[in-house]
Amino acid sequence: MVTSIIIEIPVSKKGELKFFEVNIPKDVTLLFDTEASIMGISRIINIRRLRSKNIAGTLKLQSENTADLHYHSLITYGNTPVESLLPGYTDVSGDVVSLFATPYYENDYKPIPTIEAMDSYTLYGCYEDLLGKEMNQDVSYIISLCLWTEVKEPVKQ
Amino acid sequence: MENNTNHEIPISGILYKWFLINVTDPDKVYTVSYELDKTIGFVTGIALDSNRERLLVQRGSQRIEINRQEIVPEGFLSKRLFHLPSMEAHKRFLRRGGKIPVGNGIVKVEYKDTSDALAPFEPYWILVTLDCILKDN
Repeated sequence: MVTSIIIEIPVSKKGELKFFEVNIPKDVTLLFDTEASIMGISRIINIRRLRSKNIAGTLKLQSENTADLHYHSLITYGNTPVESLLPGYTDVSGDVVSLFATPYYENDYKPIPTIEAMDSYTLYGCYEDLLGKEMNQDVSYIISLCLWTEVKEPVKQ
Repeated sequence: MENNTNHEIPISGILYKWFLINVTDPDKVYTVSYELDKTIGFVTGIALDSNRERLLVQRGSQRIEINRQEIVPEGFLSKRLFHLPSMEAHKRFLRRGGKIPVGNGIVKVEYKDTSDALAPFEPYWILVTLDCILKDN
């Protein structure tokens, strides 16, 4: 059965570094995708004035028994996919994700290699705010991290 | 995500069901329970749409239960259940692998609206669409 684990990371200070821990339940057999996204931004952002256009921060994940990172992503914000569509090309029957690279899709559909052998049930994460630093003021928002997992089917008696 | 195209099910056994959630005030949780027909046996996919896509994508998150079983956890962003109109029809739904038995037939959605400066609030509605299979299939 496919399930997802949601972790919400609230950010409120300029240049804030948030460290967090994710405990994965023991019945998880496969971790097959990781997505991260931003919501609830407290201030209106004038993108034209910023140097690093639509980047809100960086997110890194590390598993318990290794020194290296297994996930690193730039968290971006911007228009919704509907507003970012290229006019005149909406009637396609292919994979929209690859055709229309919008800030939203670039961020949300970044695949990671499937982790088939679950040897670590604790993930350590770090999020660094770049948006507040760039704007030179406190901006509060929430980073939502979604881990797609497969769990063992419960045994029917 | 698994794409379940229901090859083995006849076309008379597949149907869509949908209901609306009206979002009238910002920063509130809206709980809607919808009862499916007794003839429906399984739900295979869930999708969201709205008359204000920007608000749904930027502000929304929800929890969805079918037959008191949590299908989508709390805090799951609505943008993950929203798809572009040009997406292929069978890829539009969130498939949680196989068929979800309907049981008592009650689908409960707790939709949460969160303020976002990039998408200022105005009243909007959300259309929850369920891809269903009739019982004898």
